[in-house]
Amino acid sequence: MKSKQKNQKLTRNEKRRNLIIKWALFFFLACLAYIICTANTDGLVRPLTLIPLALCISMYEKQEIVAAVTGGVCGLILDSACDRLFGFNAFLLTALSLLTALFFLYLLRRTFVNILWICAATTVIHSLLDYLFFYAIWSYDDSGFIFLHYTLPSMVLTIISCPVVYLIVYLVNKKFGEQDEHFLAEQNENIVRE
Amino acid sequence: MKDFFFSKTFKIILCLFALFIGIMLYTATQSGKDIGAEIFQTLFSPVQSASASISSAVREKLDMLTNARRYYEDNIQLRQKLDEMYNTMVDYEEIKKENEQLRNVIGLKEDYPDYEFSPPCAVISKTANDPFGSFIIDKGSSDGISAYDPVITDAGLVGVVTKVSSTYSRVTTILSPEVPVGVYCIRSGSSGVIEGDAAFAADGLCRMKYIDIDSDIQVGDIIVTSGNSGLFPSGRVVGTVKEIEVESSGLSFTATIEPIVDIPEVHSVFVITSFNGQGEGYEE
Repeated sequence: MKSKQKNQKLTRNEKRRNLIIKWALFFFLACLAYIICTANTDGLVRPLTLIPLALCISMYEKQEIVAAVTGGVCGLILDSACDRLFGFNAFLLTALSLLTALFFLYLLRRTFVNILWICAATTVIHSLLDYLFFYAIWSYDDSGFIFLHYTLPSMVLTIISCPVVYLIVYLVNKKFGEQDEHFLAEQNENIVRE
Repeated sequence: MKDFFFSKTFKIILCLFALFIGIMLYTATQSGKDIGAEIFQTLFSPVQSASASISSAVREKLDMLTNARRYYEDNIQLRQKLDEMYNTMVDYEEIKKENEQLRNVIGLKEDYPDYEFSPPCAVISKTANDPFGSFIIDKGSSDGISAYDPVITDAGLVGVVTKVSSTYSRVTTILSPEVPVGVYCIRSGSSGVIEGDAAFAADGLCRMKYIDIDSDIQVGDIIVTSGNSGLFPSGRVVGTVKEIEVESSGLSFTATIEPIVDIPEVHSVFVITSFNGQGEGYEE
């Protein structure tokens, strides 16, 4: 009995340790994504890797609130990087991360193709809304130029960065995340649910 | 033994002695010129060189084996000294850079005594995918910076502070349509307004609009701030005229201005925290 309790205690400690390491790594990835967004690249367009990061993290979260908070935090960092109305990206990414978590909890399987579609759709929605609210409605003379030379390339680069971000998040979750039966079943379809 | 002294060999040896004595006498009478030695040296110098290299190599190997420990310790000490020297070099370069920036401030201060400057500000990051090149500097309200303070380099105008926090500030450049600048041409006196444009900003340029159709503005003219709006001090160089064209309405000119500061490449700026006429708009 005592040894069983001791094993459970060890397991709980290990779980907590893994949780801390996992979120520390995600925070580090968010900082890295911020640096990528704001690096001085002599006018070259940069990918907004915070978007696929928020979605990939949300994909593996069982609790919707965690996904929403993750989206919110990534959105706030993105607001800071893009000099947008503070809260715009936070609001958007909170909603999109929440939807992503719900999709993967109830409708979709956690596969690379599915997350790629979700990232692509989310990035397009984000880019169009960003263009609409920060350039189109202000009637800039050359808003078409901005769309062609900044919004579109940024969109494409962000979608291209999704596989790399997904791979890193997948590896972090595999090593430090909770291995629930839902996740294991997707790894091997022959495993029967208990 | 006696036979030896009468043999041919002894006679040859005597001839050799005579030759050597002759060489000595000849050399002694030549006042410093030692031709024999020169010939000998020339013939045997390759052998001497080879011999010296071989002995040097052998000596080095033996030295390495016998003094390896001492060299190892010396190596560690020298590496430490080298690291210290590198760190000192880095500090030196940073101090040199700061010194140069402060010299620029002093220069500006001498030319414009009414200006109050912030400490030199470094550009720490750029706004993601901003067509107009806005950036963040590492100084904020704790350094005396407020919103709408003009931002310059020693060369000319860069933009204006649009957001301030205690430790950093966001600068919007003159390439942005959000920062219209009242300007005039030094040579002809023609006035106008600098307005940003994304297509021009992609090439690091901006437009000067509302130039009177009768003005004498030409390519190459220098454009400076007029100071009428109270947002920027007067007389700050903005750029030079690159191209002039008639506005579609036909009522005014539009000029393409090449900023004097290469805005995408800016790494260090100053913020003018106070100047004469700040906040005083143009009054008729």
